[in-house]
Amino acid sequence: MATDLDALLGREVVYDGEGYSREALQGMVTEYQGRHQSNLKSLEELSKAHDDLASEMTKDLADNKTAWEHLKNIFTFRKVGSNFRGLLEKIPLISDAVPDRAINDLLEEKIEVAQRRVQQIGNYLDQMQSQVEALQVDITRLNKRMIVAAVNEERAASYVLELETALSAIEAQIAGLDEEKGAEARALQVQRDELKQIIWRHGAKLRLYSNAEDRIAAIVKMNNNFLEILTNLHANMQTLYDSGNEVLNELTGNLAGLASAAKAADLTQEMQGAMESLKESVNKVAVLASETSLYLTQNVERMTSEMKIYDEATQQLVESNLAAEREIKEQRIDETIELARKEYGHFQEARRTGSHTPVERQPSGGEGA
Amino acid sequence: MEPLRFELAVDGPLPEPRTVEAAAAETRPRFIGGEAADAYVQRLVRAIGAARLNAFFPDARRLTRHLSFLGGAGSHGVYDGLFVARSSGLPTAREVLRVKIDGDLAEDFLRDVAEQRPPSPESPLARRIAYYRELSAAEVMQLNHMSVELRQRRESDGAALFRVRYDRFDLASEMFVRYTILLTQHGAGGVRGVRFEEELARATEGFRRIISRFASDEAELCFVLLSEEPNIVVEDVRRCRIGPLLGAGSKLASDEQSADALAALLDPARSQLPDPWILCFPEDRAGLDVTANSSGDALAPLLRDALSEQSRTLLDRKADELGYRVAKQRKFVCPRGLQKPLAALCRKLGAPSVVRGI
Repeated sequence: MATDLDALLGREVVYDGEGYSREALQGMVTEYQGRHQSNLKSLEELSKAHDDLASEMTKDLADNKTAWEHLKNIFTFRKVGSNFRGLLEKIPLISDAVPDRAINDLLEEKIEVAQRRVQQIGNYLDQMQSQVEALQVDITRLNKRMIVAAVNEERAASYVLELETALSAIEAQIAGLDEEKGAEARALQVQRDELKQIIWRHGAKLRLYSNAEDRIAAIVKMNNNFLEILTNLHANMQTLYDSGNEVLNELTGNLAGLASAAKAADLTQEMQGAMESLKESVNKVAVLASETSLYLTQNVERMTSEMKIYDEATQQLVESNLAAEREIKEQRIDETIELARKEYGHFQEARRTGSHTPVERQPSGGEGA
Repeated sequence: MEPLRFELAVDGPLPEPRTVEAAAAETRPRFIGGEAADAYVQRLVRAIGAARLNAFFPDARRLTRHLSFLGGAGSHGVYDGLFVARSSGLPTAREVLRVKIDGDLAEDFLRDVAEQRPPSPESPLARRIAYYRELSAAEVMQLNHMSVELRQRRESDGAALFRVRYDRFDLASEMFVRYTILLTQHGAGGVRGVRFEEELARATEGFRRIISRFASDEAELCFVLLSEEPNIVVEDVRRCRIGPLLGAGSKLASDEQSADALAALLDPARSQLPDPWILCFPEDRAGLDVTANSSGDALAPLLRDALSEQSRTLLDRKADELGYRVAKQRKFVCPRGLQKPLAALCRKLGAPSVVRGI
């Protein structure tokens, strides 16, 4: 028995990992609180950026279906000017009234604004991708630390329980002695005190590791929440990016043709005006204007044949994207309600049991507590 | 030179397209990826540098810097290649615009990411940061930029003589272009003219708009239309472009004879070059100092040569009224192996031209 007790008292319990102290743990928690605040702010900004970009880029695409009619009219030289203005109003962004400016300038401006939005989204995507990767790495690292804490916690608990058994046995022996101040009693009391000290020391370790495990679990949970939101937002942004690119590809694929027609429409009209000062017959001036127009648009014919902005496939893509977005929103609402129910259940449970913090596991307190 | 022939079809609709696929194959931009894209960009940059462009052309230093950000190598891998316009053989408007917009976005982006944890090396974000850092420190093209310079102020009649430079990326031809306009303004300028603020000439918004509207095709059209503005006397309009870049299978908007001869030069089988190409630098000018209408450009006729007799007479009367004449010329850069045959072809077509080889 004495040999067993000596072995128990002299056992070197080794805990894995380093850097576990109350200060280090508190430091980590504080750092993560700051990081989570920053994540919240960043998510808020990203979410707003997404909503703004989504409303700018999808509204006009989904609502208008007659751009092709304008294009056909432009390329068959029917009321080119008014049809061009009509077309410009169908291009997403700057959907307000088209001011009295050169059509080509407006076209250029609209393309630039639309492309700027798409590139902004591309930048957000890269940033979010990097944040997702960092969070994933962080979660893996924290999970490893949590496992180390759990192993250490188990090791400390097991040792403390062994010590507690030995302590009970010694206390029973002391109680069984007649002579409280005899030599045997004194020896047992010394062992009891030593046991208590070791229990206190490893009990503190037990609480530290238990606390660390809980704290890390809470941080991981929060990180997982961020990861989920970020991943959803990334998917939404990717959808926007893809549909924006799709539209831009359609537009820019036909841009040279559109610009040729716009330029010809503008310049021919102006040329007609300029030639009127020659006091020639209206017919002659009109022929010159027509020939000039043809000179300027000699490549238009082949370019018109592939005009299919907002064709059926694009419409379907945009509409399916919007449908997917709506579905995700519905899903989010369901998740939110579920979360509220779960949290409410925790609160009710905490009230019933008299706990103060409605979390799944109650923290065990800090070292030396 | 044979005038261009047109079938006037303005009274009715144009013929229905053959098939969307066939037409799309002709006009859709061509994607070049990987090392081929980097080699394409390098060739373009070298060719522009070799052209020794004067001040009437778009700024070659800025332009080559702009183009150097295209493709995978130029963008640090942010983009994996580039789209090339089939009509001009040059990067599409979207590619050109992309560099400009990235340059605009770079500062805010770099500020935002500076507040975040540094990304892992070789991640997309790390590559974008490297690309944006380099781009934000570079001087690239301004895609729509006008400058007005006072040449002289005449005390006798209060007239002001200006030189207007207007740089744009022309969406229709998908080429960089610079217009240089010499004009005299009588009076204060009004809402569509140039004003003086603290002795500096400032173009009004109205003036910018008319220049942007009229300087969108041939120099001659710009000359005629700008001359309609009250209080403005136009002296000279010069349009200088960079492009197209011709290669095997390029569409050549010229008459049959020159198109066939050029196609032969650009055909690897006939030219005995593995990858023949020709970069063009066309210039057209309408000015009071130009003594006679002349086209020294084998690939582009004068507007009047493409018109019917009746319309040409009208245009010539307008030219007489305003006192201008028009001239065209074009210089070329190509591989050394094409230099002599191309120069010989230009002479044969009656348009001797500067041809530089690299």
